[in-house]
Amino acid sequence: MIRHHFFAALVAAGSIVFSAAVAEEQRVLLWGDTHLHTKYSGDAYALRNRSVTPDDAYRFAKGEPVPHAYSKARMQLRTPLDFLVVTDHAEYMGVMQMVEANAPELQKSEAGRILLKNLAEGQSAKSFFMLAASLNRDQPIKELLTNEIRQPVWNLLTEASDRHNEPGKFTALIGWEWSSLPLGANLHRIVFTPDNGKKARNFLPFSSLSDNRPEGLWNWLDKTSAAHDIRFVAIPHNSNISLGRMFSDVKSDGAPIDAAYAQQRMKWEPVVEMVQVKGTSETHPQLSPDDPFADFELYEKVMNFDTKIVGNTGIRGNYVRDALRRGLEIAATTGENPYQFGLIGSTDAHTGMSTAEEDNFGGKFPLDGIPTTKFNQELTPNAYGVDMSAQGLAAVWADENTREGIYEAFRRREVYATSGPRIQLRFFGGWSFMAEDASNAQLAHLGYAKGVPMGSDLPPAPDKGAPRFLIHAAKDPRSGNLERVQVVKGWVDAAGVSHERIYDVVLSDNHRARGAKITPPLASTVDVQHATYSNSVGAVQLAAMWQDPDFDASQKAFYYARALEIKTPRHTVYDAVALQEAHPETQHAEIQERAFSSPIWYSPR
Amino acid sequence: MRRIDPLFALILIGGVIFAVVSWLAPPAPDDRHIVVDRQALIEFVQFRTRSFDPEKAAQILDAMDPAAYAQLRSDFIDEEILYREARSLQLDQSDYVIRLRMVQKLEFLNESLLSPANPSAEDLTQFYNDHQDIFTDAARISFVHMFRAGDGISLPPSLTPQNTAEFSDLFPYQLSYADRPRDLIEAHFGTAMTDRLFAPATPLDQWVGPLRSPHGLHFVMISARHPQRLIPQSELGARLLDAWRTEDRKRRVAALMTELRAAYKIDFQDKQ
Repeated sequence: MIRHHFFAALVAAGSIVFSAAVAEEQRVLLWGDTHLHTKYSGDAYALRNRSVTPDDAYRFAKGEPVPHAYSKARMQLRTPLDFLVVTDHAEYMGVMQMVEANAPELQKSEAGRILLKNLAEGQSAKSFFMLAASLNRDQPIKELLTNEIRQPVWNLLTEASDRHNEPGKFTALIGWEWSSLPLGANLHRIVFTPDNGKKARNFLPFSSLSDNRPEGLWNWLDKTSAAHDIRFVAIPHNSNISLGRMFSDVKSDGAPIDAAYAQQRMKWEPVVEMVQVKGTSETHPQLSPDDPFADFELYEKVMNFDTKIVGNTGIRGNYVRDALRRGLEIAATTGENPYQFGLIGSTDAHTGMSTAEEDNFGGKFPLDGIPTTKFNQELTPNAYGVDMSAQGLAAVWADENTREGIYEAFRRREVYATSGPRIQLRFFGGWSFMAEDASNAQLAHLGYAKGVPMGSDLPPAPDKGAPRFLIHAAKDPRSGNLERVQVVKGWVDAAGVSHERIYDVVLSDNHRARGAKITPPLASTVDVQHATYSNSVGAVQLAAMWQDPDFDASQKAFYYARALEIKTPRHTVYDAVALQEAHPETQHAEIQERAFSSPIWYSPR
Repeated sequence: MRRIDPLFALILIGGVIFAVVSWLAPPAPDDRHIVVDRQALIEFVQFRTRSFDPEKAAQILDAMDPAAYAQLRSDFIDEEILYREARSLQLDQSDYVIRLRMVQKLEFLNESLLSPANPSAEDLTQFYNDHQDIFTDAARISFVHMFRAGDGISLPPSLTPQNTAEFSDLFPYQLSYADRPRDLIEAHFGTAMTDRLFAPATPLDQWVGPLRSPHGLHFVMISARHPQRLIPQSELGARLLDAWRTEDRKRRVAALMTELRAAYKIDFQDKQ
């Protein structure tokens, strides 16, 4: 409607040429979070989220102030989000609320009576203890998984989402988290649907207590989508603590991944959440020794009972770039790529508040939401608030801000990840871009007209020539300037072995280092003593046309863009300054926030 | 003079109080008996690691070498002693933090126990009238623009939209904005230009400019503009009910508190 009115105005004004450019550029950049927990997640509740409901979460995302669940201080986003999915854990959904409300239904089972007794004796921690232990052992307490316990919370979640959904202005989607954790391997998935609560209430959210294998989840999605005419997207996250199992080369039963597995996985999981509070899963210095920017907000605190396991450094199967490479390798033998996915960030905050800014971060749990507890309260085994990252966000190039528009963008993978700042990133691939296209006012129009956007396969190659990419990054108006834009390439050689290479495509301040493959970062403007930085260096926008100088038309490849900001203070610096303490040495005080496009893939004809 | 470290002073004072109180009121004999059994250690290991699997805890316990096992036992005993001594000093009763936690917990319980109420149509209208600030939509705008980077000093004095060659630079953000909120426009174009875009005097459906932003100069064509507006009650539906219930729950918790207060005899003995 708006668009039609728009064109009418333009044509009337006689600006027909200009309006064509505008038409192609109409895809709007939306910012959101597809992974947020409220008090209705058992772990959030146990770690002090006793107050922030899904309604509060949506209100907060829309820009309204909400009291922090632990500090009770007023929190507010400086820039509201365009969309949000509240995704409470499906596991034991509703149990803590029934305990809290002393619900009579609990009297019907032995487990329920124990929970009530614990409450009466002021021993709520014991209840959490009991539920968590059953998850770890994969021995569900069946009496607590009845429909009458789960349904009320599912009703509440779906109703809240429908209530806050305002097509064109703010999109609220219905979702949950499937939290499989076999032997400490994080295989968690977010599931969301663009459909409404009425359809969603035809089922209860599938939990890992029913099946903790990803194949089990996909089978359920197959069955449920057919039975109830409902659509889903599943999004894996925290591959970094999956003990190598998230992007494995084998299925859950240990057999090698085959074409059928790849097809089913790609049907449901077009996108991976690569950036979030529990770290960045792009790559690891041990996997990418030639990438000087690989050490960015790493998190290796596996959620495992055995405290002797403190990390899973460098294990294949844990990181996204490695998975994109492995996908090419598997495709070379099976014909199907199980890891051809796009990338997003989201918070996974358990505060009910989607905060991804370093200077306005509400914590992973409410408990680490204030400076003192951030430094000294253990949250999960060996992990403290200081280890958490104030990130990430999902950026979506959508036709419109509606459930439909966002779902379609996820399906075509025209989405990308940032570590929090709203860096605008365009990445187009094609065969005929020219250098001057990168300075054209109608860059976006040219991108769509002459190529394909992020998330796509390159069109078939011409007889000769190498692929060309049109890239444009613009800074978050409220964050640090941009330092550089890079392209990350992965390819598989004739022997079926994959490789990777990083290219500096465009740098700010003319600071390209002669002779160096990768130019070192600009001098830092960060003042750690006062938690400040200056935009006296870096650029507002960086754009370039880049052609692959090492292209081999016979090799499958992927390319993605990475835009880096200048150095700015990490969230912990603000807390250290607040407390007048030294910043902990276990974490970098200065970080380079960044955006990662979804890849574009090349396949030989 | 050498300054005394405040923490040291605190420990010293604490120690003196501890000694005096211990002497005055030694813990009961039962409280002086600590049982270190396998069950207690398994529980201790689980709490320490915040991971709750007794079988694995038992495995870890069994796999410990003698030194690690002795250390674990010693840590358990130390913690148990400190806990009991703290309790005998009645620190659990007088500690303000513990007190606050309990208060907080009861507050949350009260909130959760209240089932949602159903307001009358009059209640909702009254609430709507009293809370118009939370039912207000931000100002929104739709426009396209042409951009020239820099301060434009070298440009000819009479600029028109037909000077498109002069206005063909790459703008960092978008060329078109469809029904976007004022806040976003301000982030992309700065406050002064945003004020101009939203000013009722700035005409629609024709090129306007050049307007100056922090990035350069712009010719703008606005196709639609909606000022900040109060959402009519008829459009609010469930959102109004939800807001009413949130407010109602707060009010009922406060009432519950007043009721509880009425059950107490409060004796003011401070100076008034």
